[in-house]
Amino acid sequence: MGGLARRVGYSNELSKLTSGQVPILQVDAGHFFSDVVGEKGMATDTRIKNSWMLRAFAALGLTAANVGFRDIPYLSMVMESAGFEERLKQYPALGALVSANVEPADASKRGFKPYVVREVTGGRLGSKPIRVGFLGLTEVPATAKNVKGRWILDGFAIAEPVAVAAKLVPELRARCDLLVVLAYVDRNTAQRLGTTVPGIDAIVAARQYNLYNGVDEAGDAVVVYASNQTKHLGELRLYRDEKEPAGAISNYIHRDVPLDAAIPDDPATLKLVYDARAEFTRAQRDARLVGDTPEEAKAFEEQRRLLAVQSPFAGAERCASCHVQEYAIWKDSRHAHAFKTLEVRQRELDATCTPCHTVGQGERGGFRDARLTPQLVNVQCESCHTPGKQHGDKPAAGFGAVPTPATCVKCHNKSNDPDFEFASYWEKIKHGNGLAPAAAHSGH
Amino acid sequence: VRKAVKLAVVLVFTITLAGAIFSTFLHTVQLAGADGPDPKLLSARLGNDDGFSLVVNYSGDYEGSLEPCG
Repeated sequence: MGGLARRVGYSNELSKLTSGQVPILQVDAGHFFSDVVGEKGMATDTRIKNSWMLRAFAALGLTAANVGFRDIPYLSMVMESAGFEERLKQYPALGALVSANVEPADASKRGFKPYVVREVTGGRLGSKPIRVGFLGLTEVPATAKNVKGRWILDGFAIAEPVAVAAKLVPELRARCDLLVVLAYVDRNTAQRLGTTVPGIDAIVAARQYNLYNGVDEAGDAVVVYASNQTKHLGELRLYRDEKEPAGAISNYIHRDVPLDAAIPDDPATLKLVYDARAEFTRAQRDARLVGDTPEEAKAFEEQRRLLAVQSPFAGAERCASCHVQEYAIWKDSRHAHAFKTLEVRQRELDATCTPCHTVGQGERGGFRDARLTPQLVNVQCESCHTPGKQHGDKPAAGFGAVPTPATCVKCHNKSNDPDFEFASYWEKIKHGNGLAPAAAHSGH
Repeated sequence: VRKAVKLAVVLVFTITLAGAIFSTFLHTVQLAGADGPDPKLLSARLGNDDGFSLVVNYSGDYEGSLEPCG
């Protein structure tokens, strides 16, 4: 599900359906960059990945992309004033970024346009162009620091979004026929924007939402939610009332389009995606290369040994020493081969994918990568049951970690797996003497 | 007789090879057909053209990924 090549492919097909009579505007509500930052800052592979996102946005012909607070770690580098003009030439999509409430904390960084207005013409829009305004906002994250009354994150100051909208919406309203707010905010803030700031027609919100498949109405505004990772492409189809003055939009339909195998990939975009994958996979592999001297190889082995010894995760093979039947069921399940699906697509080093295909990534002693922690690839017992080494050492002490359906939907959410339904999925991995999952481990 | 046997062996080998190539080709064509987009499903994804005038496609939370995980 998802992917930029399918998004462009869908747009091509939609254009054919309407014989090119209907303009299609592409926008993004925020968090398009990875914000994975390690102890030594943002790794080279992550920076490469983000730079390809900028190239892809340019190829997509994006009208506006809203700066979400999670974009700021990367933007703090590419918006540096020094050398910015050259970067803008290299990445024209930087010019499409909008934010009304994120501004440089000092002169060392460049800022963003608060909004853009796009004049749109089309066969069904009448003689007068329609002016569509897009205003960008993000919430203030908990990680921002209060410095002399301003919330600062990585060299940018972030103001309270609703207050900023109240100030700027009247100004933008006077310049456009249709006003859309792109907002990287939680659902309450999205609705508060609609109910407290008059003049907004639509609010497109993102904040890692599961597929919502509906809209909220807040004041005069309609609120729609972008699904996490855009596995479903959000769509507003807008209708012009023939009786209204030229340019007036009188109605809309909202759709969440599954970007699945029914949508053909756009060949040119697919090439861009493959080029991006090749470059950043190469960088990831380079970053993980182990030196070929005996000393370096020995140091790597020692690091691997220590990670295994110090980890609270035991690995499925250890569980198998007592839980023979459960292990056999797991071994035949797709969970036991979950890492292979990433390797086939060369995504095994991608930190946005690996958490749902391994054990304990992000936790102490959890999965790092397939070379350092090979015992923790695939979805294993401890992916659901939590670390079990202590239990393995002292089985009599019991083991309280009993998963519930809520455990499954951390990965089998509506974006990743729209068809997930607990009862039928549980049948595929049913274990624990055939009891319901809640009772399966009561014997411990 | 030796010539006839030799000819027969070459003939059998050629027919087998041709059959294998044709079978692989047929299988590839069938696979391509099975994996290609289904026009009915695509039509369902696109919906009806009922006269809409403007489309806004929106996304969020790409997290730097241009393609799905797997």
